[in-house]
Amino acid sequence: MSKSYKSQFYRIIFKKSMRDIPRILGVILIVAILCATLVLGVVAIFGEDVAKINAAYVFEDEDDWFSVGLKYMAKGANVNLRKYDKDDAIDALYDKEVAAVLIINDGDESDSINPSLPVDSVKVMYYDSDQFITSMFGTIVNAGVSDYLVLNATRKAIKVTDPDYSRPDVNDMEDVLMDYLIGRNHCYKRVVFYDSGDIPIKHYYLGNGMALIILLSASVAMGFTKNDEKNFVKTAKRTGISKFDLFMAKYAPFMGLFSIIAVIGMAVFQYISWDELYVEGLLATFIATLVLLSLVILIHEIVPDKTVSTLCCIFASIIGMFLSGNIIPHSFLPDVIAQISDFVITKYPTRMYGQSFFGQINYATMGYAAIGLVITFGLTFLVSFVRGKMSYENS
Amino acid sequence: MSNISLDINGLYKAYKKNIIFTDANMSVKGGDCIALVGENGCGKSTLINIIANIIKLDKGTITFKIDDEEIPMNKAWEYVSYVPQHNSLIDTLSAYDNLLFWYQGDRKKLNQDIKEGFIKELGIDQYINKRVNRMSGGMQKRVSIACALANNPRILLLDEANASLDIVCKLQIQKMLQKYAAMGNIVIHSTHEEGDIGVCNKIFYIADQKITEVPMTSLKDIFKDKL
Repeated sequence: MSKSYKSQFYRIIFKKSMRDIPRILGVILIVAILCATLVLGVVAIFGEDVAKINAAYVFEDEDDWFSVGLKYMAKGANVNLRKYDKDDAIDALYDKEVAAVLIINDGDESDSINPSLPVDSVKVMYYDSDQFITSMFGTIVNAGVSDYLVLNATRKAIKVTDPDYSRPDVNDMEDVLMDYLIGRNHCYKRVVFYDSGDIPIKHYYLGNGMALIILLSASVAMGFTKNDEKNFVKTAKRTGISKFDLFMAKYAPFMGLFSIIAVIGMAVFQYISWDELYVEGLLATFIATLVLLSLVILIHEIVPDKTVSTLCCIFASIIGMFLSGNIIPHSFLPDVIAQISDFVITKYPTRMYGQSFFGQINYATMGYAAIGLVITFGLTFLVSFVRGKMSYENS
Repeated sequence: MSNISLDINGLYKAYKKNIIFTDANMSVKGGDCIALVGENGCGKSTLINIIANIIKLDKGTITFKIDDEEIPMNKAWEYVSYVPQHNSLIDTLSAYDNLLFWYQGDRKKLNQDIKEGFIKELGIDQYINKRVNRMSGGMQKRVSIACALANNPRILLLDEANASLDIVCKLQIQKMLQKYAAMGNIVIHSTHEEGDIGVCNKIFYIADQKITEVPMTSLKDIFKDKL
């Protein structure tokens, strides 16, 4: 085959790929809508509750100061505080509806800043069997006690300096003042760790959603390239096109198109979120997309029939995502699934998407994904080579 | 034009235990328009694929000569073109792009062929920039044959290429194939159509793992023992 023909061959393949863009975008859009529905549903079910601890509080004479404090806690801390009667709160603790109960006394506000008076400002009740939650809540309460002391000291200071100061209702100014008074967010950056990886839940599910969209839409779009593949291979052989060139012609445009679409999508997200681009995140997105596509291509190479291979891809994608803990987090599943997930290829690209959304790449994950890419692509080429021979013989 | 010949000797081919050919022989020369006939599954497509060097034979030899010079079969693809039963066109591209995809020569010569050569005779010049997926089945078949003819092959292989086409399209393609063979090329057409046989000058009948040349006659006569 002459060099000029080879370049002509690739030029035509490129043109064909450009023509495929509208239908690939159409498939991605449809799958994206379906996946968005699914991901939103999962976030609604698991997203909020896994991030916050439920706790009850009992405070018969709740005042404006306390309301402001609660409002602040709801915004900044990982605790959902709900008001209960004392008996109901204890029942809720036994039923494990809440991780702890705070019983706030209605004593003089000076009690809490005067250690000589034997009065409990707050009594905290835990359920003994849940050690992890208890310990975590204890830490939160310790921080909260410090805040409470500062808060009461401020109240005392205001009352001493201006006894006539009255506050008819809670307003925005108090909110701002409270924000600076209990200024934890101004002193340190809060980083939350999840069992699904080192990214927040929102980015975790965004990553999962993106992986699912790429997997499912690539599974469907791969079907387009399989039309009359057998005849295509035969006729290609007539023109002396090598197996490698044919392999590249079949898959390189497909992988290129999907990767570019994924990287552009990620770049748009990053620019909207941060007003700048995170290049490592874009690179990770590119690699992650190649890994997922190589998996789809491998399945399509193994299963010759277009419809069956598309169904196999969709099935494998969902099973892979499930085992990787991307549909339901591992904390809700048996331990054995978490152990299996280390060997499931979808785990790493999904995490890389999440990390790219979050803006913090883990290079170890990228390394695992790159190894997965080499293995899967190598297998694909091997299967393509063997099946190419078989398809001639079976025709 | 140079003389060409194709000889198949002692051909043996089997798919596992299913023997397709045993000691089958066939000899054709430039100018021959061959009809390959036989029942379904007798080995017509296998023979076409063997000649096209797509399938390897188990035993036997295939000798392709140009002016008595033997061309190794692994180089024969430069002289052989193949029209499969189902079109191997890229349906999102135009007819011209599809031609370019398979054409390996000078583009000016291809443009010349489109204007006044065999490709024009196929009647696709007016649809040359139309996308394949917007063409009728007959027009797609013409483009498929044009792709095979673009490189001016010395041996043109067609695997039931006329199936499911309308009568006008069939007649035009038959006429064109006859003319192409008359120029000193070899046309081998696997077919079940009486009309296709009518334009050929030789018929090879495949049955009982053998290839037999039969006198020019109707399909009804060839298959009378089976009816």
